[in-house]
Amino acid sequence: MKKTVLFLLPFMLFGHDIWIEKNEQGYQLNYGHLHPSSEHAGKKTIEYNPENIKEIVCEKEGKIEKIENTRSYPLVIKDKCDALFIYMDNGYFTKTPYGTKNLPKNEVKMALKSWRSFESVKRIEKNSKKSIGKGLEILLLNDVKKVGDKARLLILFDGRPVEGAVVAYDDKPRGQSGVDGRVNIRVKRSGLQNIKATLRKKCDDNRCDEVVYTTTLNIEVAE
Amino acid sequence: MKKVLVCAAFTTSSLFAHHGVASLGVAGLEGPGAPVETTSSATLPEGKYLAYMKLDYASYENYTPVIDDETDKSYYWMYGLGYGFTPYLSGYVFAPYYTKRIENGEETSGFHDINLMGVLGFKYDEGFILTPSNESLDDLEDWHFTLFANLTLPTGNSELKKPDGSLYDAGMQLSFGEASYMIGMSATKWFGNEWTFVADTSYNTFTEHTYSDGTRVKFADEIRINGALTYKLYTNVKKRLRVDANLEANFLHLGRDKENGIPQEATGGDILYNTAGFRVFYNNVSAAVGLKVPVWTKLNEEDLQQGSEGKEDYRVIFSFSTLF
Repeated sequence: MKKTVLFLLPFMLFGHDIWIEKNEQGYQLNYGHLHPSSEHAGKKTIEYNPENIKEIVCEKEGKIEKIENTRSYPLVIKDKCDALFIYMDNGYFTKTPYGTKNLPKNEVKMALKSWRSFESVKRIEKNSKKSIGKGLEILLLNDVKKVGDKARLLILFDGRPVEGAVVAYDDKPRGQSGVDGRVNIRVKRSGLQNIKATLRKKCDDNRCDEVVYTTTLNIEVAE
Repeated sequence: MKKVLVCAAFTTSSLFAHHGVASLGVAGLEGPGAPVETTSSATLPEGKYLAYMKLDYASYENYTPVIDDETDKSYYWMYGLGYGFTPYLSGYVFAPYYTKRIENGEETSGFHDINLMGVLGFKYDEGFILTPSNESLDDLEDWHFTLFANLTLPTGNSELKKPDGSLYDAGMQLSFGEASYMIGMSATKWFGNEWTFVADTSYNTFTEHTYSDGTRVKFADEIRINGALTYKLYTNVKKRLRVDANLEANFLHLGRDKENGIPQEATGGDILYNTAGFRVFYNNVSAAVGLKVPVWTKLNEEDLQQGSEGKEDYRVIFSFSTLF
């Protein structure tokens, strides 16, 4: 890290969480605040647009299957998966003096800042340590058994190690991926883990200033 | 040559003045702190340079009210340049500039022997590994260590003469006349909050030198053990500013100097100092200031060792470093 810690805070756009909850029906995609805090004491879940879900990937016994988006809220997956990856395209956002619009900057007046947002989440039940997603993805390289263990992570972009992704634990930036894409995060609570990576790239057209890729890793950790 | 004992000790004090360089802290508001005197276990980032300057000012306790040849004060300046060859291997070159003044106004002043230092960094993370290039805040909470070795080359002048043509005391000279060697290690533990613990130890040995008047002098071996606690007092992310407070215990063991093979009276002993200070990080620079005082001494011939380490009224230490 050495030089990077100082610059982590400006990257904090981890306003909301996205997570996959396991229930009797299967898996449910949620959006909101996974671990409500004093800062986010409000509603735990927020409704999302299921149309934004562009890809659902289920890994089962080493095989990868794509699952159809039911386009209903909330998204529920009834299959059993060793790992489940969900990819969303949230479209363009533009900050204006009158609030943030879900539009590209060339379609609003007085654009202050704009970005395109891609989000994804992966829940691991049985870790194959293989890439199953697209865009930004967190690979867990070890078995995290208890609180206090380090999660040894490899951050990938389209399947390749990527440098400079900011990695947060419970929305607090803890590190940045190195040239080899690696970064380690210590697990500090039991239950469903909220490990998030964010990567920013420059937008290549006039509809935004940058493209923000955010991905979350969910694993269950015992006490 | 005048007997060695009076000033011998201060030829070596604070020689290894990379102490307190915070290659990590320089750049980050989070992460471990770095004390003023105790050597932290931070290595330099690969491909980065560190420019360094330190002043160690010592004012000595006088035994007599009259103006005589008691040691008065000294200014140990240290200029250094470091380079990170790899994330775990740093190299430094130091150029000391010393001014040693005695009460009657006489002084010697100039560049002392050049120092070359290598630092190997490693840490414990499910086993010992070399310091990696990229560490998260959680990685920085692991125990970090360094092994370091130092060599001084006799580039200074060991033949300085008084107005009457006689050689100055060996301790007043601006060179050991021969190479000297030091090895040491450090350990650092950041507790993930405001507190950091740092400890180091080092062993320093000298080669016997024969002066032009035929006198053979071998400075005594030195052992240092330092421990420090740093506390992060204040941070301002927007201004990239961090202020730490430091409290240190610095133990020094000095053996007896030898002249012509004979152990010399009024040399050597044990000293425990306390150092209290502050360190400020701002962007890529770091500055530290500390007040160091002897709090316990067991010198071999206490009443005769005016001017030696342990007999300071106080020392003031200031250091400045920048990464680029």
